[in-house]
Amino acid sequence: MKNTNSLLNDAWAALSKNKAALISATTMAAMVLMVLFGPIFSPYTIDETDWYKISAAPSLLDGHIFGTDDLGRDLFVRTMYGGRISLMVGLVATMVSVMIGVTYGAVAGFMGGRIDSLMMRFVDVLYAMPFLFFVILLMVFFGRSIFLIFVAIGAVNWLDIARIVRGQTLNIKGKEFVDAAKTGGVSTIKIIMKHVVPNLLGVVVVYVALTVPQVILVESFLSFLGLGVQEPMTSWGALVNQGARQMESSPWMLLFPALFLATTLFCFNFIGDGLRDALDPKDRTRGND
Amino acid sequence: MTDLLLTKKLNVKFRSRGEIIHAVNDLSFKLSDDEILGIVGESGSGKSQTVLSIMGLLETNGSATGSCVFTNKELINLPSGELNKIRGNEIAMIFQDPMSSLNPYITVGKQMSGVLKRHTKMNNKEIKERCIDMLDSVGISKPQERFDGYSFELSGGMRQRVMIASALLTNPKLLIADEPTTALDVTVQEKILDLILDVKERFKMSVIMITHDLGVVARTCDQVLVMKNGKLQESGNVEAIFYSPQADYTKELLEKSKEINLDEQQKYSETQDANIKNSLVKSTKAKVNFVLPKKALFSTENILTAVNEISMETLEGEVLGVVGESGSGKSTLAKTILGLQKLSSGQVEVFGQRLTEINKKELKEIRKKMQVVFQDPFSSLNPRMTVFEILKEPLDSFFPSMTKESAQKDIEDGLMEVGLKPEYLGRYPHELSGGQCQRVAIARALMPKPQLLICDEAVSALDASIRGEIIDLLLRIKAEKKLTMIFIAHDLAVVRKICDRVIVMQSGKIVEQGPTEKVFFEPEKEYTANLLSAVPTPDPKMEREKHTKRVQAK
Repeated sequence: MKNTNSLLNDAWAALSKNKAALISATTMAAMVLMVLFGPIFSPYTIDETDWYKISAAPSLLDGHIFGTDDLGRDLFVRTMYGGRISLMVGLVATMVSVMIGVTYGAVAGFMGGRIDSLMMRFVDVLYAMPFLFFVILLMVFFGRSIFLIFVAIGAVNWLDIARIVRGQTLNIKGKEFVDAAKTGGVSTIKIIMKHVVPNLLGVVVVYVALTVPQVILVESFLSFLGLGVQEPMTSWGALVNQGARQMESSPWMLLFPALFLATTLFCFNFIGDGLRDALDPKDRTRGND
Repeated sequence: MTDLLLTKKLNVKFRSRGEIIHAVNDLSFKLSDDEILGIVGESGSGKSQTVLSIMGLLETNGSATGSCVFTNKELINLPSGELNKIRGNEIAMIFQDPMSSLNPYITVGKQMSGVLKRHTKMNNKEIKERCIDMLDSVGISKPQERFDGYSFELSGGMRQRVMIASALLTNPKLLIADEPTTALDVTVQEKILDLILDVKERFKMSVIMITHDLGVVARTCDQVLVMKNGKLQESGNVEAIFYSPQADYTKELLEKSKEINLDEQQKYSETQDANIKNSLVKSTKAKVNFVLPKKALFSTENILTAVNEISMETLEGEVLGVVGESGSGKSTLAKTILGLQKLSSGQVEVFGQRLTEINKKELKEIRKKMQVVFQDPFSSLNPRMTVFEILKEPLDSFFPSMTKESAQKDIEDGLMEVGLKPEYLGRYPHELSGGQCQRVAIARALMPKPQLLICDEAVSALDASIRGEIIDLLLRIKAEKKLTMIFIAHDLAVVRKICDRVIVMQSGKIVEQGPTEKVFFEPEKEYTANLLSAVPTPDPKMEREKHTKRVQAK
């Protein structure tokens, strides 16, 4: 029955008409598959040194299709493994921070008054904590692991989104449809989930599209300081970092990881734009021009 | 008299989604020196687009053809460099919403000076003097302070005065006022209209007044153009239009706007037959305080009393009107009754239960019997929900055990009841017109089959003809369902048409209450009388008399 079109169904129909978003989504899907299954087709492993091919240029003959790095390791395999880490950090950390941030911000904004003040002061306290200090502390106590990177990045990122969402919620709370829902006997939790959160989606989606790339970069920064992923594991950020140092002698070391990183960032931006338009019923009709 | 503005066959077109929309069709008119021309019509009639095309302010997808000669210069399709020498210098414009036409980030003085810097060679000191003079002459007290102040420190009426002052800075020959008083209260509107008449005399200019309110036209204009759907319906001088209208549309408009005419009082019963009727809402000394944010850390708390010891009663089956200017606390009163706003002191009883003494569950039971329709239909419907979802929500929460089939049937019936077809169920609010949205909001309010309906300015945001339809709808539903209604409005015509009893509020207090006809014809308090006389009536002679009286009184 056509009447029961839900927001998500309609959004999907609109998204599938947006070419830029579709191409980006397909590219992303292809990249995820490549990252997951690519290494199987390569004769090399991530930490194996090819002593005869140190800093070798890309070549199809010997199977080093992206070349090798200064330690003779196959760059294709390393880029794929790095992609696993980078994408995982980007997606998982962002999802975690979005879930915490949206709920926290929406509740604080909607409840208002003292609860809002308390919740937001807590956010302020966490803001005051120096990020690096926090990460180092975690590493000292719990030892190094990828899981900790998720925790560290997630713990910092949700603060931003909580703030943004709270501001938007305050705005939405003043709208008359919220009052109308209250007189319609709708419970507070349902009002937040059905009336407030859907109207926040536009802002949140744009924020997510910006956060995923940012988180990937933060991870590379941590790796650079030796706090992130440790050798022989790697990430796109770490690879770009190493590549940048060798870019005059062996530019492929920079080129390939950077290409993957940049493509990902582009794709996320287009997907984000597409999602925002698709989720807003007003933009949707405009998009049908 | 010479022609200041001569427009011939003006056409304005918009391209939108591959379609061409004709906003203005073959419009010809002229404006003489020292004359006020009124352009009347409902929204979408092309009245604003007419002047925007003259000013070269059309949106980028719009184009104008035809001719419009202003003091021997052709304005249509003049390059913007040339146009800028005229705009703001010889033709000035004021807009509907003074809130958004003044920039809150820069001082009033700076905004005013901009015009003079652009068009004259005055130095800063002269500019400042001229601005302050001008603020003074539009009746702003302490102009020196206001010059350095910001626009948000001013009230709506004061802002419109500032707009007029900055429009007058360059001694324009033509002032275009686009709905200058629509966003203002009636008493403020009266003052602003008087000011426009006054400065027109003093500065010897012509005025184009765009409005949907025939009363405003009767009060101010010499010549009138009546427009509908981009076409001219009728033009002529104000007396001809009002006393011997030719076009059907003009007659219709006049008919609709005469509802408030105070010449024929209808019978009313002084004593309500209160013997059997029980009261649904009863407030005793209800008070609502808002604590304003502190200005400094140790300053004392500022308290705003929005509702100040209000005692009132709503009887079963009646329509109770609550009138007052903005800020009089009428909406806060409604929110208090609905349980959306906490009482600071006093009592409100709804359906015999005290709002301060009930728990959530009881409140929900009460809300089932009491529903609300808000002012702005676009903000009262969640933009991300379809009409179906909007109507289903109250059913879900009040009747959780209802089956899918009977809910579907109820929703379709509810929609039919407010005059919409079931095909609208899958639409989103932005795909509906304002009137349709308001119908959906009414349908939503009726879903739980309430006994009491509170309409908070439910028709204020709508066009005159749609307003009439919605009022008729409300009256019909009221009669069919034996509803009791509390009708909050600032529009006195509407109140007179549908209310049995009226409460007049001013700054949180009740000024006067009684049967509608009594309050309208024999007001006891001066405030009520002023409120009533400030409403412009569509009768030019009467308005002129009132105007001369006011001028003499000064």
